[in-house]
Amino acid sequence: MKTGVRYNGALLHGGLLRRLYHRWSLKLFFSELLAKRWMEPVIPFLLMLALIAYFAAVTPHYASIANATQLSRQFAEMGFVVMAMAVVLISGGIDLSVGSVFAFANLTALALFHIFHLPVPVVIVGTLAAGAGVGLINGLLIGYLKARPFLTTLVTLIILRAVVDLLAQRYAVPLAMGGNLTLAWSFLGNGRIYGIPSNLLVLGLVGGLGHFMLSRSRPGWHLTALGSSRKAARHAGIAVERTLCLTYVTSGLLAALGGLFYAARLSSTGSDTGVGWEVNALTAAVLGGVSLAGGRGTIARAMIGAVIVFVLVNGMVRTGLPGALTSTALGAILLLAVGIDVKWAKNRLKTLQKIYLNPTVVELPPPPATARGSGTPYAENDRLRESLEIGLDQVEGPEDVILDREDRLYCGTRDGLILRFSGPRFEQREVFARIGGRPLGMAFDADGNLIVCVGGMGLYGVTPAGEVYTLTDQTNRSWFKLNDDARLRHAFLATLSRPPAAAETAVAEFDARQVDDFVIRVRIVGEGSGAGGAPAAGHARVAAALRTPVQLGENWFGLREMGRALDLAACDLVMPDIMKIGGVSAFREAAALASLHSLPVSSHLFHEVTAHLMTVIQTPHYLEVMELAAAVLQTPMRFEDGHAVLPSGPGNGLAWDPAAVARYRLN
Amino acid sequence: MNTLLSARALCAAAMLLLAGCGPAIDYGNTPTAPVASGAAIQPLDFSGPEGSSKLREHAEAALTGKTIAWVPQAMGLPLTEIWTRVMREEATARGMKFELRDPNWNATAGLQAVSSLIGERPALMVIHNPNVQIYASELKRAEEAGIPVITVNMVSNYKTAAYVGPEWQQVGRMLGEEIIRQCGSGTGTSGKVSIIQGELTSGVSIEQMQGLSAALAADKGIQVVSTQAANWDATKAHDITATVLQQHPDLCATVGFWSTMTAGVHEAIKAAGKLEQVKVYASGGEGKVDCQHVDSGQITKVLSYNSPDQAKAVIQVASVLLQSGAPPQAFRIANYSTLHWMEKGHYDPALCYDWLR
Repeated sequence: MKTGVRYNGALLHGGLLRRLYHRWSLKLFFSELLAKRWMEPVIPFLLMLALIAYFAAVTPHYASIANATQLSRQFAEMGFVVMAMAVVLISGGIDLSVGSVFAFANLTALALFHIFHLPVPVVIVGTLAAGAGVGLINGLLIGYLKARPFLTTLVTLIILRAVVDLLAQRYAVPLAMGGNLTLAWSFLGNGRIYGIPSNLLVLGLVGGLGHFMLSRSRPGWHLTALGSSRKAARHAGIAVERTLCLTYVTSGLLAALGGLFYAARLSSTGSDTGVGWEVNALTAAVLGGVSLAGGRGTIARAMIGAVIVFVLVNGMVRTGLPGALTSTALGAILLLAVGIDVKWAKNRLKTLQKIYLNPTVVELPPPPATARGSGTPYAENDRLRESLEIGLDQVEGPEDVILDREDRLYCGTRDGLILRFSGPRFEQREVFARIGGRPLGMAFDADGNLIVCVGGMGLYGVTPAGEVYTLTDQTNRSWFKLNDDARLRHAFLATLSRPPAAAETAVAEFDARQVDDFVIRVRIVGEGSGAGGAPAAGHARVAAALRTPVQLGENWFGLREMGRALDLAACDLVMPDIMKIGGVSAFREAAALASLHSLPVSSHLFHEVTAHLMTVIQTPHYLEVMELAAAVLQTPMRFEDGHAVLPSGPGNGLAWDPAAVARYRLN
Repeated sequence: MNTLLSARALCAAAMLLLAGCGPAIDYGNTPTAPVASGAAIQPLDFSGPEGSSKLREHAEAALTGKTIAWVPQAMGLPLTEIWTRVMREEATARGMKFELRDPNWNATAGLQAVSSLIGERPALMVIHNPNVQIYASELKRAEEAGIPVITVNMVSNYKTAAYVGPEWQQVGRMLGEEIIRQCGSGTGTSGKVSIIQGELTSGVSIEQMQGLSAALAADKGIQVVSTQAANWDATKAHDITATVLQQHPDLCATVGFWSTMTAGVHEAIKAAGKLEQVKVYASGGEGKVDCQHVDSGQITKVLSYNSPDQAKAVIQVASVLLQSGAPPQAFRIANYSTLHWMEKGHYDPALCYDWLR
């Protein structure tokens, strides 16, 4: 007894488990994981986890709530400074003044509170305004006056540090001894909300908002675009000056926020406040994966880097190493991490390409009989012997044809048109509809609408009046898949055996990555496929305009089309399809024709056969390999060092695998 | 309560053993008075034939295997290296563990070290505060967690269980009085003095400045022409002095709050050709290096505190605090260091401790 579920009219044996077994793949999981954008900072992220785990293991009470609370409180202030640096780095600049702004904000906050006795909200606003003010100076100089960020912020760093020192000379001692205290001020410095330090909570909120702004908002995109390419950003109409200026204001604001919390927590006016923090912030941001070149990075990544630097410094001091050694070791570890990260960033996509595969299982109904006279639609016959040529030289790439009730013939073209041929011998050609894309399978629904599957676009309908409407351009997103597979990449109509109602129309999808082209193929739209030979003429014009070599031939039906294309010098490389060009003899003639024009010949599909032919032609180039038949061959063709190894058996050396053939057999 | 009282008695006894100082216990800050009026005092009784072993066991229970954690401002300086070496020797001799955390001039790293130490619960912490404020709340948290803290030389706004170091107002006063003797009214000099502070908000700077200002104000002939902070950096001290000498070529004296930093002014004075005119004063405890400072004439006079002795005192006070068994808040001890003048040819050779030896 057969068990299973029905899918698309076919019985799936074994049901869900069997399908999962065939469709789930560890390689696929890893490759989809690798393809995720959030996998880019995985090395710093793992380093962060490893460091925390290490120090938690070797240090007593490290993982205690009290210790974590205290350390995270101290981390938060550094976090703001790293964030300030990261925002500017992403915009393609650098802000060396963050440490000075931090110290300046610290002093400002303390002065406003302890000396001028202002209420806490005023202190907050005043401090942030001071930071934003410094940022504005940087922003005006860099954004509007086109000063270099490095030098400008270096100068700001020095000047501001001097200002801090001068102010400290006057106010530091009274501030250090000052004892003004209010509940709001202590809360700002040492408060907790649900056990989370106040400053860490604000860091989280600001970080979340920043992350959202950078990745989901117009100003954030402008900022990132600016970092990627200032020229392109300007051409795209982004207000470069204003965006840059605001970036530095934001940076000043963030650094000041850090300084404010530092002031409220410690009331310390030490002369080394914020000294060298710009370097730490830069290290943290870069370590987290924020590119020094701009345009790449997120707030979350900067925070990962910040945690690493913080935990490392903290951990090294704990191990009791001499201070100078700590700095050296820190530098070495950072260098190592950045090195690994660079390798990772470089090789991630390469690895991805190597291991990506997308297995699937489709249970087919029993194969229909194909024997002559068996009465099935697939029975061998010679009824096409007396066939009529329709639209010869008038259509390019008709992937499917269909007749309507009035016996008119419809077909798609490569240019995205639906053509209709009518008349007794289909001699009348007219453009029925313009869909665009690549019309593939076609079917009529009960109301006489033409349903067309369009490659790369989706499923469309055409009313008898020729009006195009969209049926769908996505499929269901499957569960347990990391990738969004709802978007159609390559669609075709799966049920064509009977006129389907629209509801029964199924759409399947193949992954375009399975196609591995070896020459850049320029897909060209001809100038209307009606007038004789126009596609080749169009190709010729494009070929003349391009520096990239153009390869043609996989759709040449017969030597005549090829000859026309070569006469027009429409291509630099040829790749005739052995089936379409007319078989083995025609392929050899095509190769001879190509050699007369000194054109290299590559093959198209059927490498099991063309491999042999490529050895006997005058100008062989590449063998195109697509393993379409491997599943049913006894010994699929072998490849060594990029070369096909020809089998030595009789004929073309192929033998079917009867078991496999039986397995895929259609009744 | 009984333990507490016996602890006090023991503490007082031990304090008397410390050279050059008496017990200076101030209970003003303590949250609860350790002696409730009318409570019966039950002294520990270690008399009898087993007395000595009992006393030894009592001490060992409090000290052996316990950890003293030490956070200086930075290592690599004669002062902190001498302290560390002697403290480690003394602590190890008592069967204690000694752990160093070196923030290397980074106050924020120091703060993290202190915070982390609280989590690790050493028996006692010895802290060198970079400024009076930055560690204050953490030191309070440490003592609330039952970890006594001894501050060395540099105090915090939070006064911990014990302080070991000079009485800095006195240091400032003595420097001021010496300057008045050399540059004050009737000496025939300009009376101009340049003051080079360390880190402005360090306890050493604040209190030394208070004593110095008060002393200098006593003589109308003294004119303080510059008061700047070199943040313990000899190069910065050099630059400040070079500028001051251009503005005031008739400068009489320059005084710095730490000898290693102040040694930097020598080159500036030499460059200005005023070695005979400008006298250099400093306080310090750098051992052999200070002897070289005065012998070479880089510094005219150093007001020295004996840093190896300070380190011994730290461990002795630690021993007392730990053996007392009382909570840290029960103590507010100041163990002030004896001060010695050093000048070329006139100093106690015992002050020339060589930490590299």
